[in-house]
Amino acid sequence: MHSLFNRFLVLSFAILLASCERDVAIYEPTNPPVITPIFTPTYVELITPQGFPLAELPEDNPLTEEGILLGKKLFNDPILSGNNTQSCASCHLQAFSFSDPSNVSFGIDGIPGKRNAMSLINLAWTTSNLWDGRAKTLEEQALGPVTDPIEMHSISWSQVIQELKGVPIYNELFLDAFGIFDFDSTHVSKAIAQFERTLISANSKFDKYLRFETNLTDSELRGMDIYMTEKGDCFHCHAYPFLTDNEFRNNGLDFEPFNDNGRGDISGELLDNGKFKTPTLRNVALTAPYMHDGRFQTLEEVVEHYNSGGIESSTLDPLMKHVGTGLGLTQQDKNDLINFMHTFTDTAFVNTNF
Amino acid sequence: MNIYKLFLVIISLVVFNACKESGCTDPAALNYNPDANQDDESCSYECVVKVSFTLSGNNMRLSKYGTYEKDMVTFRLENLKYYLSELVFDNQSVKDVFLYDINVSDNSFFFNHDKTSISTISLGLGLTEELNSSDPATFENSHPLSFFQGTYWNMPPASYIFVMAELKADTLGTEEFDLPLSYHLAHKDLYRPIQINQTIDLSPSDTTVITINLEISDLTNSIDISEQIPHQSVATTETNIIMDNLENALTIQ
Repeated sequence: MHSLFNRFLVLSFAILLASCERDVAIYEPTNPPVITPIFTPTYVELITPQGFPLAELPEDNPLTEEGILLGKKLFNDPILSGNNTQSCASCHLQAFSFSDPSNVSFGIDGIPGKRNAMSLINLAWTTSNLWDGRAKTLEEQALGPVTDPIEMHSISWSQVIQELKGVPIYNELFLDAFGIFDFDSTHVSKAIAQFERTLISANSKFDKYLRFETNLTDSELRGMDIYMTEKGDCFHCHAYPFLTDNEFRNNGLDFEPFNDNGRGDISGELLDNGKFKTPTLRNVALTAPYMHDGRFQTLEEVVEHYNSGGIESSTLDPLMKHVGTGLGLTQQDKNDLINFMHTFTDTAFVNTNF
Repeated sequence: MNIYKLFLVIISLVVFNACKESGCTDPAALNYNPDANQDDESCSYECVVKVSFTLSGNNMRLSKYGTYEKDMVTFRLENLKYYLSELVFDNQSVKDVFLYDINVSDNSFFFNHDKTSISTISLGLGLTEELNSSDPATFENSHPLSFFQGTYWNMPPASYIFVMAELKADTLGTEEFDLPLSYHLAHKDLYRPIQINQTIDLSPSDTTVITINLEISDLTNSIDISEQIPHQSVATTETNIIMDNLENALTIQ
């Protein structure tokens, strides 16, 4: 009896198992199974230097170790250009505080652009990007040069993405940074923006002086006095800590009509013509040539421009108050002012392996 | 009989008082009491008030790059920012600090008031000493006192710029706007507390807009525009005159 019962049990299990196997065998999914990648990025807190406010980072692009790493690789990789010869770093050289020592930058076809590449410093605290401010965010800015016909001149972003997807390491890095296989241009720009936000400079001699870590020379102190008062009148637009006010101004470079309308071409406001974003003076001694078109090769030329009072025009900034009369700086004043501007140099910034 | 009359009076008083219930008798109020037949002035509302800051030149609305005339000279306004502190509407503090900025499209804020009228508005032109001693690095970008407003001078004596007015004047009548003017006023002594006594009725059902206007053409009253005003934290005769001009140029509309 007991044996019979056991046989019945075995038979029942066999039938059950067989029926299960049959179910599996006939299951034919209409869609392939969705594999959700495991996405565990390491979030990074941006270091806020002493005297700086907290940076406001975009909620849809938090800093992560993986994103920054990917951004750095993309920033330095010529794969983003049409003929794989030029990267972001080609025009933003770290030795020059991520600016271009050429008057204007040249694209992959050897065509000159119309403006000097701005230095990339403390971008986590900027409120607009580029000389005319046409890119509100870093993410927006990073999308532009790749397909610009006079810059990196890739045919299309879709082609760039296909190229990147053909490189196995990029598939891994995008997966690590954003948790996706099917990345696109927005992920590229987000990664580059993350990397750019880590380019922080706050360790110049002047920073150290303000932190009571060093002293300035007599000449630098005299220069500071010129800078911080209306004698030199620099402080209005280049105030500490960012040494830029993020505004757009006409500083009296040209007569009208302007060769380059700058901000006016973006805003459509005629009275914005000839205005350009105030550049930061951090690392200014390393970022020659100067002005939006790189017309001045030295700081001496820059100081002489302001000392002359500049050129009158309908959009000249009201803070340019000395047209026709000039500032009246002596040679000693100019030397002192330039010596002071050299205290904005942060050598650690250009030597750090970001 | 007298006892009977006294009893009737007492009963009447009791009944009469029992019928008289005090409370809020306004159906539009949050605490309306339908049983109340005697209003005890306890009505509470949630009147939405929008405080809007506007700018005019020669009593006409003015925006960035707008022009106005003063003493036969045409002025073009290039930039204007000014601080207001401690905005109090009938004992209700509604804003610690507000920055008017001609570069932004909307210079306004909202608050709720629990009464249907306001009779006193007090505010300060500039920043109180406490606000002026703030560290701009401690504020987020959009805060009126953050570095990003471009209104802070950190060279000693450090101060916020209470009023930043940048203009160009056409002194030759050639529309070339040959004279740049920039008034950057910063010093604790330039703070101007202002009290405006004016009854404003508020709607319990709709947003009431209170407009505070600045007539910018008064900026240079009694000022020689050919003289440059130093840009530093200092209270001079000229900077005091300009602050007085602006104080008088602020009106409720």
